[in-house]
Amino acid sequence: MTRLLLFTFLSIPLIGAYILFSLGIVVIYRASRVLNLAHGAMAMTPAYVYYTLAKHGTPRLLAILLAVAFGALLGVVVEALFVRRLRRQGPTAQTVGTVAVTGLLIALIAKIYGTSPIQAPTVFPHGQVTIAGASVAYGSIGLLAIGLIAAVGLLAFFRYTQIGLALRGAAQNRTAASIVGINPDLAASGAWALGGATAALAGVLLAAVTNLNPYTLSLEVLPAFVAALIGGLESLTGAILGAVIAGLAFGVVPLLSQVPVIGSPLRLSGAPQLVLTLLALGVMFSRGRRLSAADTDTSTINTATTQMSRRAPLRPMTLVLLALVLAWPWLVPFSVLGSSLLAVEFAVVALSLVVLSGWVGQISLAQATFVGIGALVTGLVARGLGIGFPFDVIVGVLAAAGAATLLGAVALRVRGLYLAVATLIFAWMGDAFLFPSPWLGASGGSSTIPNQRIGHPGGLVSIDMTSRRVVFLIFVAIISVVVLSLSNLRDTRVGRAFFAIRGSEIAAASLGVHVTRYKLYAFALAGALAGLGGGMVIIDQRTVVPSQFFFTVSLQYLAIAVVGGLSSLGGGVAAGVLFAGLNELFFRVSALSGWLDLVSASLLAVVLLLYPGGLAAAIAGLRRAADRIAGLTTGRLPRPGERLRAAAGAVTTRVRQVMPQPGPATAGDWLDTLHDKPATHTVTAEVPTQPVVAEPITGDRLDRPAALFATGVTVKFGGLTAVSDASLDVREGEIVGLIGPNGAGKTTLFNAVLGLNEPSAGAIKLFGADITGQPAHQRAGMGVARTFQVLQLFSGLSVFDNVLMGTHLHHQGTLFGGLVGTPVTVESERRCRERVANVLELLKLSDIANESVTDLPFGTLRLVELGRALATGGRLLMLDEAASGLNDIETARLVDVVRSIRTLGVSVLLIEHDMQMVSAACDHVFVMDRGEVIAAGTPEQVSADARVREAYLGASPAPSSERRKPRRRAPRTPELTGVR
Amino acid sequence: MLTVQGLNVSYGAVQVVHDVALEVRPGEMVALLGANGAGKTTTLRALSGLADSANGSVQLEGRELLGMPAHRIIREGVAHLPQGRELFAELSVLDNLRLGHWSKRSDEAHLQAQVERVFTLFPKLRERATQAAGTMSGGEQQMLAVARALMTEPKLLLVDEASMGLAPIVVDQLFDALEQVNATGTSILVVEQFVAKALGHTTRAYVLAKGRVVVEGKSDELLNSPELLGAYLGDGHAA
Repeated sequence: MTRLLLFTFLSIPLIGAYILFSLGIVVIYRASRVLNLAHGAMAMTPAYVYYTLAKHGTPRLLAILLAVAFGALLGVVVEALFVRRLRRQGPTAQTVGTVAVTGLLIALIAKIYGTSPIQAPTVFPHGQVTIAGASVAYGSIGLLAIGLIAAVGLLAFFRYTQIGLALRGAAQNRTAASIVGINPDLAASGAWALGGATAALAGVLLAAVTNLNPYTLSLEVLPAFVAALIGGLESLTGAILGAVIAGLAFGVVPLLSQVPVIGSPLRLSGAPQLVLTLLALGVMFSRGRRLSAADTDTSTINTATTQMSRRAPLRPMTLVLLALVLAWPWLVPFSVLGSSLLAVEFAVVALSLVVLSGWVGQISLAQATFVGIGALVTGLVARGLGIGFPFDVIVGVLAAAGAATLLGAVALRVRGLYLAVATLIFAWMGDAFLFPSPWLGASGGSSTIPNQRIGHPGGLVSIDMTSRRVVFLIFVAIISVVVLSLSNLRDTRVGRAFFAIRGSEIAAASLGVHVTRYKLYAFALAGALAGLGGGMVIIDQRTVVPSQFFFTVSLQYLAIAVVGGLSSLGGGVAAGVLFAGLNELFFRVSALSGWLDLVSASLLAVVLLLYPGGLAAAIAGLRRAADRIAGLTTGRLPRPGERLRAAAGAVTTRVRQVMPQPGPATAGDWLDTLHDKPATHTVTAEVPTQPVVAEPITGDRLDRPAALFATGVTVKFGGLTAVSDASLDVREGEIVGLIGPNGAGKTTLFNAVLGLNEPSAGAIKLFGADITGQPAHQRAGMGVARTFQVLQLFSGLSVFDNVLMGTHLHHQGTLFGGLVGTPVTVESERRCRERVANVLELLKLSDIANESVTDLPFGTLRLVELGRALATGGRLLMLDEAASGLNDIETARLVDVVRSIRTLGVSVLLIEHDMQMVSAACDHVFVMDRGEVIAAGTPEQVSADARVREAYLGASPAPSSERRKPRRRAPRTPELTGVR
Repeated sequence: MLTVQGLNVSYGAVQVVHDVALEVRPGEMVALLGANGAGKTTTLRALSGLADSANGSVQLEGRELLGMPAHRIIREGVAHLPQGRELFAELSVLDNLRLGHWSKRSDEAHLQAQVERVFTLFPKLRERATQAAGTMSGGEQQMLAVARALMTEPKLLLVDEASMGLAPIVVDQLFDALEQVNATGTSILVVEQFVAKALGHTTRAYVLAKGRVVVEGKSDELLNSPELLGAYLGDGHAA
C-alpha cells in the first residue's frame, strides 16, 4: 500500500502544479483579501508566451525565465489596474474585477492563437522511470520536484528574509506597515508579482505535460482553490497540504473504485471532484462562526444607487415598448427570434444574480451550474416521466433551488469570500461529476426533450410549444411575472432585509434580521431563477449539452449582471437583451467574428472600472432627462406635504399601491401602533398626549423592574481583558449613562449586551429573560434597539426607507407573500409605513422624509438612525456615543429627544464620554475605567467622585492628596449599589 | 524643529481640525490635550501622513511633510505611536521590532544594536521576544508599540493616548520610558487624556477644543488653571 501511495504521489504531475497555484492564491489572498479568479488565466497566458518564445528559437531555460517574469509583471498590472482601483468598493468588486481579467486574457489568447490544442515544447526530456513497478514520466517528476522546491523556497522567503517579513506584515495591517515605512501598495504589488510568477511557472510546466488551450489550461487551477480552502485560505503550509490532498484525491479515488467491495458507485467520472468538494464543504462547515462586532460593513459592488419607493409612473414609452414586444415575433425573421429567446434566458439568469449579488451582496460563481440543473431536470421529467410544460420546468426550478439552498446552508456558516469559493468549487464539481452523469442527462450528459413532450395539443396544458413565436410570448409572460414579483418583494419586508444585509450585517441584525436565514432565502431564490432560466433553455433548444453550463459560462452570467448594474431589475433585463443582441450581431457580421468574447470581457472591465452603475445608471439617467423635459412642459412644483405622501406611498407595484393614512397625532396612539406586536411586556405607563421632556425619576430606582440586568460580565480578546467582572442595570423608564475614558471597555460591554462578542463569564438578562449566548438578531426581537457611533444608515435610500428598515420585526410579510403580494403582506406593509410616518412625525423629520440620507447633515442623520431604532419598537434603546460629532445645538436637541422617548415607556442606555451630555440626560450613571465599573450613581454623585475624576484626568489636578487613592472595587451586584 | 501652521483636516465633508498652529522645539516634550473629539488624534494623523485630506503646513526642520505618504514621513524622522497600537498582531515581538527598523535599510549589526537598546529600555520585551504580539497583555503591547517606534531612532516621536486602558502603574512606567527617550534627544509630542499625567511630564502644552487651539502655555502653569479644566471637561466642571 505504501508503494502504491508513493507511486500515486509521483504519478500525479498535478500535485506540483497545485502546490504552485494554491501558494499563489494564498499569497495574493493574504496581501489583498482578494480571491484571484484570474489565477488560471494568469498561468495560461505566460504559457503561451513560453510557447511563442520557444518556437522562435529562444533557449528553453531563457524562455521559461522570461515567461515567469512576464507572469510577475502580469500580476503587478492586474493589481494596479483592477484590484487597487476597486479597493474602495470592497473585496466582492475586486473579485469580480479578476473575473474581468480572466475573460480578457482568455479572449485575447483565443483570438491570437485559436482554441485548438497546441503541443507545447517540453521542458523536461521525454522518457520515463519505473517506480514500484509502474512507469512515471520525467515531466511529471520534474513538475512535482519544481513545485516542492518552489514551496520550500517561498516558505523560506517569507520566514527568513526581511522582504518576506515586510510582505507578511503589510498583509496583516496596512496602517502598521505605513507607519514603519513600508509602502503598502508596493507590498501588494510584490505579493501579486510573486503570485503571478508562481502561476506562470505552473502554467509553463503544465503546458509542457498536457497541451496548450486557453480554456482548459485556465481551468486547471480550480482544484487549487479547493486546496487553498482546505488549508484555510490564509496559511502557506495549509495550502501545500491541501494541494497534496487534492492531487492525491485524483490518484487514489479512482483506484478505490477498483476495489471490488466498493464497486461501481464510485466508478463515475468526476468522483475525485465529488470527494474533494465534500471535503471542502466539510472544512467550511467546521469553520462557521457567529456575527461579531469585528464584522464591519459587508463590502459590496458599488452599483447604481438602490431604487426603492420611487415613483415610476406608466409612461407612453412603456406602452410602446410593450406593444413592440408583443408584436416582435411577427416583425423579425426566425433566426433573430432565436436570439430573442436567448435574451430572455440571459435576463432571467441575470435577475437571479441581481437578487443574490445586487441585493444581498453575495457572489455566486455557480449560476450556470444551477441553470444546468434546471435544464437537465426539466429534460429528465419531460422525457422520462412524460410530464409536459409547465410542470417539468417547475420541477427543474425546485431542483435548482434545492441545490442552491443546500450549498448555501453549508457555505453561509462562513462569511465573506468563502461563499464565492464554495460556489466556485460547486461549479467545478458540477462540470466534472454532475453533468456527465448518465442518471441526470443522457448519453454523454446531453439531454433532449422530444417535440411531442413539450405541451402538445391535448396535453394538460394545451399550448402548441413547437411554435417559437408562442414560446417567445410565453417567455415574455414568464419574465414579466418574475420582474413584477421581484419588484414586489424588493419593496416589502424580505427585500428590505436583503438590502439591510448588503448595507451592513451588524445593522441588519440590530433590526432583528436573521442574517443567515435571509441569505439562504436569497440563495434559494437565485437558484430557482437560474433553474427557471435552465428550463427555458431546454424548451428553447430542445437539446442541451453539459458544456453549456460550465464554470466559464457562470463567469459570463456574472458579467451580464454586472453590466446591467447588478442591483436593478430593469438593468438586468436590459443587459440580457444587450448580450443576446451582441451575440446576434457578432454572428451575423463576419468581420466581427471571433471578437465577441473580447468585447464582452472589455465591456465588463469598463463597467467595473469606469461606469459602476452599468446599464441601470444609464437608464436612470435617460429617465431623469425625460422627466426634466416633461417637467419643463408641465412646469409644476411639488406642493408642501406631497413629498411625505410620495415617500410613503407613491408606488407602482401592488404592494405599494396602498396609501398610508395620516398617522395618529398623539404620542399615546403612536405608542399603540409602535407596540402592536408586543413581546413579553406591555407598556402600561400613562402617556401624555404630547411627547414632553420627562421629569427626573423619583423614588428608589431599585423598586422598578429591570429592563437590562448584566452581572459579572468579562470579555477577553487574545491576551487582553477588555471588560472584567462588570455589572450594570437599567430600570424601566430610566435613562442610564455608561461613561468612562477611552479604552475603558464601554463599547465592549455594550457589545456584550447586544450579543456581538462572546463574554467568557457573566449573565445578561433582558426584561427578566436570560439572553446570555443568544445571537444579536434574537436580542433585537426581545426588545433591544440600538444606534451606532459610526452611522450605519443605508446610503442611497431616503430617510423614510431607512426608518422603514426598522419595521422588520413587526412586518408579517413572508418571502412568498412579498413575491405575490398577499393581502396580509400588503396590509402589514401599510401599517409599517404608517408607523414610519408616525416616528418621523415624532422626531420632526417628516419634511425630509423623501430626501436621500446621503445629502443630509450629520446631526440629522443621528436622528434618522434614532428613528430607525425607535421603529423597531424596542423597549430598551442603546445609544452608542450618539452625541459624537454633534454641535451644541444638535446635542441639546438630541437630549430633548432622548428624554421625550422615556415618556413612551422606553428605557435608554447611552454610552458617552461627554460628561455634559450625560449630566443633562441621565437619571443614573455607571462609570467604567480599565474594564471595570468603578462607580455608579446620579450624575452629580459620580462627577463628585474622586475615583471618577482620577479616571478621567489621570489624577485630580486639585489638591495632590487626592492623587493615588487606592482603587476600590465596584460593587458586584447593582442591587447593592450604594454610592448615594 | 516641528512647525505646524494653518492646519485643517477633514473627514469626508466634516472638518475636524481648524487652523491649528503648534511647535515642538528640539529636545522638547510637548503635550497636546483636549476633550474627546477635540481633534487631537486627527492632528497627529495629519502630522504622520495618515489623514486623508489635510492642508496647511507641517514642517520638520524646514522640510514640508504635508502631502507625503506615511511611509515616506517615517524616513524623515517622524515616528508615530498610534492609538490602538497597530501592531503586527500575528508576528513575534522580535519581528515587530525588525519591521520597526524597516525604513532605515541598515545592516544587521545596526539592527541588533537597536533591538538591544529597546530591550534595555523595556526588559520585559526581551523575555517575550518570540511571542506573538497579539497574545501579550495591553501594557506589554503598548511597550512594544513604543519600542517599535523607537527602532528608527526618530527625531520626533508622536504619541497618541499611549495610556489608554492601562493600569496606573503601567502608565507611570510608560511615561518614565518616554522621559528617558526624550533625555536622549528625541523630541516628543504626546496626545493624552490624563491631563495631570501629561502636564507633569512635559514642558509646554496645547489644548484643543472643537478642532482649534484654545489654550497654549507652560505645563506647570496650566496644571492648576481653571481655563484648562473648562476646555477639557466642559463648562459644567470648570468650577
